[in-house]
Amino acid sequence: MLKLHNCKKIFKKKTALNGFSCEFDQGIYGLLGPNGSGKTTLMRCICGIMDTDGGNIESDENIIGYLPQNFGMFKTLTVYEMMDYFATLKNIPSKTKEEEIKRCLELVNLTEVMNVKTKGLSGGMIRRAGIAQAIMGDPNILIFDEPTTGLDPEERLRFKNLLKKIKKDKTILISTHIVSDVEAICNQLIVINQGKNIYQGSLEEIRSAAKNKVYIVSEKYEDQLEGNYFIKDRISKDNENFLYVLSNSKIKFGEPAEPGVEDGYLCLLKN
Amino acid sequence: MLKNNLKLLLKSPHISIPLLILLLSTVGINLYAMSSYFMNSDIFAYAEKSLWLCIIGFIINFYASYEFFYQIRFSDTEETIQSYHNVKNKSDMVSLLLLAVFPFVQFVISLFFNCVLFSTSGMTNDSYMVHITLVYFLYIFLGGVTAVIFGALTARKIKRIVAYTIFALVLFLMSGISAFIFEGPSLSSSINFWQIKYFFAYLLPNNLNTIPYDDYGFPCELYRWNLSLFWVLFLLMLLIFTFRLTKKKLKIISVCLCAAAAAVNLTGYLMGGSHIEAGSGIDSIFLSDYVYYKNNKTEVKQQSADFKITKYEMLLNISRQLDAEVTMSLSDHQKGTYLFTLYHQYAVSNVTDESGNPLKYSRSGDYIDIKPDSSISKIKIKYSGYSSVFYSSSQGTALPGNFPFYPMAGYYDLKAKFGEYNHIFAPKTEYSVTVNAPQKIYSNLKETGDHTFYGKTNCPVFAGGLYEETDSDEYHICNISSEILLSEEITPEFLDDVQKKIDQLDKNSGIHLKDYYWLKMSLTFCNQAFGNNVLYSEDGIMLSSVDSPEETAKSIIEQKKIYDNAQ
Ligand SMILES: Nc1ncnc2c1ncn2[C@@H]1O[C@H](COP(=O)(O)OP(=O)(O)O)[C@@H](O)[C@H]1O
Ligand SMILES: [Mg+2]
Repeated sequence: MLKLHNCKKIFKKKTALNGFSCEFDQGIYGLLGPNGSGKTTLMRCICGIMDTDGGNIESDENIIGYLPQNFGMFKTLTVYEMMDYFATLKNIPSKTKEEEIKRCLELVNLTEVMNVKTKGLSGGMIRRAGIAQAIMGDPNILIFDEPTTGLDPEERLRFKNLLKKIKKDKTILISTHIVSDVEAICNQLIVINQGKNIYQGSLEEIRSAAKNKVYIVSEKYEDQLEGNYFIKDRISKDNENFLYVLSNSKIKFGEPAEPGVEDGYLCLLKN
Repeated sequence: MLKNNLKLLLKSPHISIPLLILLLSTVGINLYAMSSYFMNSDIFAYAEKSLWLCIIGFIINFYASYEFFYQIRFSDTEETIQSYHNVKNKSDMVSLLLLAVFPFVQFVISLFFNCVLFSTSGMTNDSYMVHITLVYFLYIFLGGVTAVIFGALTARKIKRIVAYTIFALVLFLMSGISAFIFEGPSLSSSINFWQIKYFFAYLLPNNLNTIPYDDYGFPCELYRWNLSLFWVLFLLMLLIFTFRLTKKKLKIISVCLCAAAAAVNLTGYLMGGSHIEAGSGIDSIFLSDYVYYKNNKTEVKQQSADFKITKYEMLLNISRQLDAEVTMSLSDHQKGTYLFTLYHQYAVSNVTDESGNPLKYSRSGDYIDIKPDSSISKIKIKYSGYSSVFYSSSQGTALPGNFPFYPMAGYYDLKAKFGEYNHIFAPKTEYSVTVNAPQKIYSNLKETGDHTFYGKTNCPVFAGGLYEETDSDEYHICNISSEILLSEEITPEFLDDVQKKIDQLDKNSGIHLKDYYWLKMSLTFCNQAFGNNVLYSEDGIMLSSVDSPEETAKSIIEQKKIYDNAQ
């Protein structure tokens, strides 16, 4: 169980969290928000890396697995040694330590590079090692800050499968600024913008935010678009160019389309 | 956690190799110093060479600590570890402890070599061993720990270039190279700019290329401990300040504790105290009084007293400096002014008569005038201070009776030239003295109790430091520890020879050397204090050289005559 109530974090010039409230149950939550919206700050506050400047965070777990946005390791140690280093700091009893390290490395598919120095790992492998470190000790709350950036499509797929392997009864919070990641992985969605929780709900629900606001418009009408609108994409079909437009007002010369998660998200941000 | 950090350290060659070199050079330098010891038996020359370690250690320990913490800071592991339950600071503290092990190992290795030397040499008294343990602990261990904490602190907050620049600056201030900055301004103004330099320099033994005093050893006074502890605590305080503690109270308490302890030690350092400064500083043994008498406005006076002191009762408390309480019994007392000479650095706090009534007095330079309203039979003077030549410190004492560390009747000219004073021989009188000092005190007066001395002389001497009593059945002898190794000590055989020579030279001298307490004094001390190789007194004789029984015999006969003929 994890509850945030009216959390505030103010840096010298910038208010990074501006009264963020949210409740988490079991499940995989996607924290979606543009760069600089306060995702990392929120996660740091939850993990106790930063103190909040107001509000409170309630949790009945004393360990939280955390993968920081910039996860790194000591270059001169091997993967196993590094995990041993983390495990000791995590207070994992020395009896079960080796077993636990191997379990976690197995889960993230790094058993083969166990005795390789971390300096020889690829970006994707380092992220996976970071996940291994986070799940060590089997915490009930897992927080991953942008786990998919820098991963190639294959690695993304692997990450998705990995999450499935991690038991279901956990609270997992994943931040990203890429909507497609969320669609593939999460079953709950939180949208953060300018330090505020502007939406919380299921993937289906967010689509409805863009209901009747998505149109496909032929390129030749581009000059005639008016009011509050946003061209999300340009598509080419049968040698004709079309615009994928989000608009608050009805577009007569456009054809209404079925909104996706991204459309809902964009509508939330643009309003 | 320690094991993990050790592994990390060992696996970082840019840190572990310099540290390994440091440990190897510790062994190497000690071996080299030891070989030179076996050539000339000079234990101080040995210790001096081995003390170069503390400088190398200071640099390498700083480097290792900086790089180790820098590596932790920029490895992108910090955030991960911070997310664990309150272990980040613990882990950093363990790293700090791990790095502090290296100066400790250096200390232990050096000590081990000294133990070997000590056990193979002829020393029986452990005053030297205690001294060298303290010196190594202070300079090799605490000096190294200071560098470690400094490295950790800068690595957490400051860019590499800036950190190393600051460190280089500190080294520059500590070294002799920077002396020119302080020399000029200090001589031409009343402010002692050297203090700025000392504030850093005293972390390590300065002037490693000047031979220490045989009876004093390396500088290791209380105030130097204060300085080292101040730096350790102060830097530790700043380091804890950079920690992010979830328990705010714990942070506040530990920062406050460190700050309080640092403040106590800083006060201790600023209180200063007696020490030997052999360098070119303004408070050095060579310059301090030379400059004083050169600039002194009070005129030099010489006038014999029109009263006599029949007995001195002295209480000498020696810790950072001399705190004395001297009661003088007066004879032939008449109304008028009593004139005394007391070295100007001793500040008089209280002058009373026998029943404790304050007496009017005035002080100028080395002179005190006491003007009682009625006739009195005793004067009691309380004073404290120290001389930069005739020290009275937590480490050693050298108070020769012909230097007015106690009030002498009459005005004397004390004028000093480069560490030498005029040698005053006061009239013979009775002394009853209690000395409380951290060291055992030796004197040419008879030792009557634990800290008490009694006897008649014209020059009571109190000395403490690296001495060693080598009692034989027939003679009472006290030698200087290190000189025993150089075979420059007073031996019963030598005294037998001297006795023979005396009997040959003067059958009726009546001198029986077995009746005296024999004190070996360093050449420096004898030259400064008496201007002679021999100091004769009723209960004790001091010698500074044991080269020739014949010369010694002659000197003793001559000095005894002078003594007998004196008032
Ligand atoms: N340590 C910090 N000091 C000052 N400002 C910060 C700090 N961390 C984050 N910020 C600011 O807070 C805002 C939110 O940052 P962040 O939480 O990193 O956003 P996100 O992870 O969503 O990109 C940004 O404008 C950023 O500049
Ligand atoms: Mg971020």
